[in-house]
Amino acid sequence: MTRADPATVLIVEDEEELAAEYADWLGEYAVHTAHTAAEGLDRLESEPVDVVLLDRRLPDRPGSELLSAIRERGHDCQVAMITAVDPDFDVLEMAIDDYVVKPVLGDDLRELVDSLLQLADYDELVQESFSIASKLRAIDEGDRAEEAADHAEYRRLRDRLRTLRDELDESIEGFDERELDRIYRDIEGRDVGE
Amino acid sequence: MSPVQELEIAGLTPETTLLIAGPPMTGKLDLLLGLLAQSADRSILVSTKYGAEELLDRYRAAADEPDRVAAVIDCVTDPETETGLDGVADVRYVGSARRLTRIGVEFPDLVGEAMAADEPGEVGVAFHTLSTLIMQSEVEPVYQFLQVFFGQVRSAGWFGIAAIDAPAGSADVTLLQHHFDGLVETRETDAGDREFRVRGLTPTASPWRSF
Repeated sequence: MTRADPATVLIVEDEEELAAEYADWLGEYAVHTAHTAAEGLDRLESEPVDVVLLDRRLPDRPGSELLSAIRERGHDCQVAMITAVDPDFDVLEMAIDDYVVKPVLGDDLRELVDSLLQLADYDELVQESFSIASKLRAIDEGDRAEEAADHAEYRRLRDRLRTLRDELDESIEGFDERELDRIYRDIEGRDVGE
Repeated sequence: MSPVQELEIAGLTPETTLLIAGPPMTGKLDLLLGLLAQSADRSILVSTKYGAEELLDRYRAAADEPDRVAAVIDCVTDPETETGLDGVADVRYVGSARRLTRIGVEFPDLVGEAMAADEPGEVGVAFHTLSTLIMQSEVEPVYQFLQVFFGQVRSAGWFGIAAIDAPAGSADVTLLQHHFDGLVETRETDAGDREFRVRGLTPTASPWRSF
């Protein structure tokens, strides 16, 4: 999925003043605010959102339930929980991309959104890489493998795969340990093998 | 001529990543350990088939140095029952090859330690074997995991090598070989000799050589 420019951030925060402050700090993005879980879900249903900043305590239902709804409905977005609640072991079970304890400063919030968007980009490229490699595999293990090198689309995909590898390697250099940890967790989370 | 010399002719550098592929019992582990020992002064091994102690013994025999520095991420030994190799090697017990996150988390830690060493020299990373990963996990997460894992190896400018129990041209090899610069194929001849050849580092495959 190609992301709109600027990226869209949804802030789900019941304290209206705080939500407005977050929105102000994130002025470089297209920012929407919602003050209840229901409003947040309506917004997600109405247009694509790249990053959700989610308060854990909302007036109509817990942020964790909104998180579950986001995942169950298949919304393709990064979600960070921003809350005054100190993390307990239950956060390990949550399908969140980050967890930040209040108070949060403007620079921290911008850094968080930037990091989430970078990880989303990385994830998209990795998935593209797998998709191309799977197509090439179908040819490489088939009867036409020896003719593949002469086929223009095969060569184009093979070149694209190499470019992707270089781009992904470059991204890796910029990630810190916490971001790498997040990437590995996402990958393991997709595994439903025996 | 040693396998490393053969590979150097075929374009091997200290930053090359290689996948060794071949049927079972064709000497992939011996080749992997020999190439690692000769290409790197300090090694990080990920083991999904043998416990750390056995793998270290074989690695040090391949290096012909009983005290060769190495760190191991052991995905085989039960962390609750391991007797410990403290003081002998830096071993991290992950417990299962399915625990991709644990492997991923331990790896940068060992990378950091290797980089912080006074004289790290050339560092090499070996993964033996990818077959266990594929048996225990879906192929897509394994593909993605290896993209990240060997991306870290390449980003550090290190030698990287992995082995898989499947012949070149098989579905798993054709999929995963894209993560590597070159493919080392192994086979056993009718006379029982073990041979290898290299593809991907030069425009044409190297000739088959005994090892």
